[in-house]
Amino acid sequence: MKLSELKKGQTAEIISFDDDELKVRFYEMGCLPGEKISLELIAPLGDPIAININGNLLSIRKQDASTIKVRVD
Amino acid sequence: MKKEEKLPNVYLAGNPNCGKSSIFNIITGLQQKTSNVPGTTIEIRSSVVKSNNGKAVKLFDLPGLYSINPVSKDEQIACEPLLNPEHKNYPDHVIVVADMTNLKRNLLLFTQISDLSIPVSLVLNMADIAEKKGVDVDIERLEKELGIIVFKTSVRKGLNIDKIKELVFKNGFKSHFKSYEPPSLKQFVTNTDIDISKFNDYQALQLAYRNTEIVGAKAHRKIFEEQRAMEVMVRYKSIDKLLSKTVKIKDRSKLFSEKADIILTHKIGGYLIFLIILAVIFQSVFKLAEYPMSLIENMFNYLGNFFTLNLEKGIFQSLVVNGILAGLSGVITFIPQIVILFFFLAIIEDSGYMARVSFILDKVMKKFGMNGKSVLPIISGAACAIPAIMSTRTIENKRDRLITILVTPFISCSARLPVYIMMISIIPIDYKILGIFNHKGFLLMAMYILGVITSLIAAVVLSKVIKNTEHSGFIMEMPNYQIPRLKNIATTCYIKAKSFIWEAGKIIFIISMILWYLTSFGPSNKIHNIEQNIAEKVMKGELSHEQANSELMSEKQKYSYAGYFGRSIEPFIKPLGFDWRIGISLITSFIAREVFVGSMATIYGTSEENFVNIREKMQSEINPETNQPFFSIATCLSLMVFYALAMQCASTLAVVYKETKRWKWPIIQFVLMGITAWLASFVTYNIFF
Repeated sequence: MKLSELKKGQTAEIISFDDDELKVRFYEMGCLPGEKISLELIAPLGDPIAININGNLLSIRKQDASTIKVRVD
Repeated sequence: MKKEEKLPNVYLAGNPNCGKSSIFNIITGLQQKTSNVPGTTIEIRSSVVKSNNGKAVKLFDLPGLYSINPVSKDEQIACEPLLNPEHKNYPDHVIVVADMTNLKRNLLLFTQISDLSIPVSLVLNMADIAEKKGVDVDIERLEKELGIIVFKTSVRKGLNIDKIKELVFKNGFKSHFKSYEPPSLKQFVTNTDIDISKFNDYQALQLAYRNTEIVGAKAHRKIFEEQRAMEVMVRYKSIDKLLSKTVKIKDRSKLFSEKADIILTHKIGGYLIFLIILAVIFQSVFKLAEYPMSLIENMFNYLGNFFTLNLEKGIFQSLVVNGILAGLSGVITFIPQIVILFFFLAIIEDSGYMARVSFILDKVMKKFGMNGKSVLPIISGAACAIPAIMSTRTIENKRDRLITILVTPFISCSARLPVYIMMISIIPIDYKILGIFNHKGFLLMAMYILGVITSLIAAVVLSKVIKNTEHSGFIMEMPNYQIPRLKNIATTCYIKAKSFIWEAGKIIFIISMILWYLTSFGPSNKIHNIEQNIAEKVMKGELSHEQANSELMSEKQKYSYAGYFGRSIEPFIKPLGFDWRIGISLITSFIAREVFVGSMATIYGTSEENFVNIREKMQSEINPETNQPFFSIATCLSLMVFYALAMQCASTLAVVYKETKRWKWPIIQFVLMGITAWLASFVTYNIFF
């Protein structure tokens, strides 16, 4: 499933990235395939979302989050 | 002067939000210089630092980076000194500041810099928060693994501050830690002026990343993107291995930050708290700025009177009083607002709250072609567009930042208030809405709403026209909440005020001098004749001294270049219901909008203090064509709309130049806002006429 489809509080593992250019940026921010990622907050208006990666909070727009494939364990 | 001997270049590098800038502030104090990286809007701070025993180094503060392959072109240019050993500012030592709570990500930049064969040291900052998070780092082991100096600090708790200050003067070591084997590219990188025979493989790869043209085809871009992704992945693997040997993470309790986020990003509580904070800021900016501003005003009045009395009457006196002093006050009057607004904005930024504001409002701003980080600058525009535009530096995306800069001046600033108040006081209507609201309050509110709506429409239009050259991805770190450090905030305020005075102040001063010339001199010797005429009338006893003075001022304004100019633009502003007198005031308003009131007072031959008098004079003015009062509802509203939407502030234009580094943008802004204002006034005038 896509990262943007995760429910609040859910944890998942990053599988792959659809957008090559964004991929490098996500990599540099610590979002790598195999890493555990969890959805911490959803903005009151539904977008963006805040994800926790390695104990760090990142705000990502849903549009960008939909380029990340994840697997819920 | 003796030629400066070459000092060692020491750099501070690190991720955004790692506390690097606070460290720079602590080491350098207020001695720092801010300079623009040529061709970019990125500012790099630097300072010559001297130790107690007379050693000196030049310390640079790089912009916050996640990697030395930053997304933005400007940031790429900013880290160029690290990549070219021939560069005049090539580092002798880079101190990497890492956020200890997130070592993995922070070490990525470290490994890249280290692979450039630059001597490095590593400072693990925010040790206090890391301990709370249960992060335990074996410093000795880490030093051994990396082969460099490593220590923990906490700027907030004052841990090891002396050690950082000493480190700046020490030599760094080249790390033997290898996290990545770059492919050999030397054979491809041939078509360049830089002699790369001395480059190592990673330096050559970096050169190739940046100059795709030197390795030829566009097809390479894809390969490089893959290469970059590979590089990051491989580095993280080695970093993971390193951290497994040196870092232990214990279980932890829920942090304050996480609890606070539940409230501050709550769908009701979040917005409510934001509104309360805004209310406090605005109340403070208006109330607190009043005192220093009236102090500055009094000081300039005093100086003006002093020079009027003590200098011989003539051009020189006029130059000093109406040219130089007016120009200086046009610069200095803005300082209190800049300092106070930045005081609050720095607290919001330093505490980590800024990211939350962006988070809860990003979706709204995205609709208008901006992002969440545009919220505070735009709102700050209601106090003064100048500090608001200066605060757009936190917006990383170039296009979003540019749009924010261009639309912020549509928001009604405090300088428009005197104009609104004057026009509302003479507008010939009087009725109450719903029996409670006075038309005055309603009109004032309507002007503010007009500004907000226009700025948002303008943003939508601009976002369609200005292309996004950077990737649209909006990934923003939400740092842990921290108590802001007062000293750091004070430094920010000081630097902002200083950069405004030196960069925008010069331009404002020059424009003031031009305006002084235009209002003091005329194309013929008519002004001289008028002076003589009035002097004769005084001699004959037809005019009192006071009357003579105001008549002289009024006549002078009419026959100056500005006066002729005001009259020559009459055909353009007549459709808006304005005449040449308003035309003159529109031109003189350029130094600051509130000058309109004073300028109208001069033309109507009274003093600004005598507000009732000028109001009566303006109200009794009859339009010869219609035999109705000249300041009809249509004219008054049209004028207010014009002031709400036109770019009539030389200081703002100067700041837009300072922030965009191009004259193109202030000129475009001036023209577009002018056209918008003209059209809106035209429509308003014709609706109410």
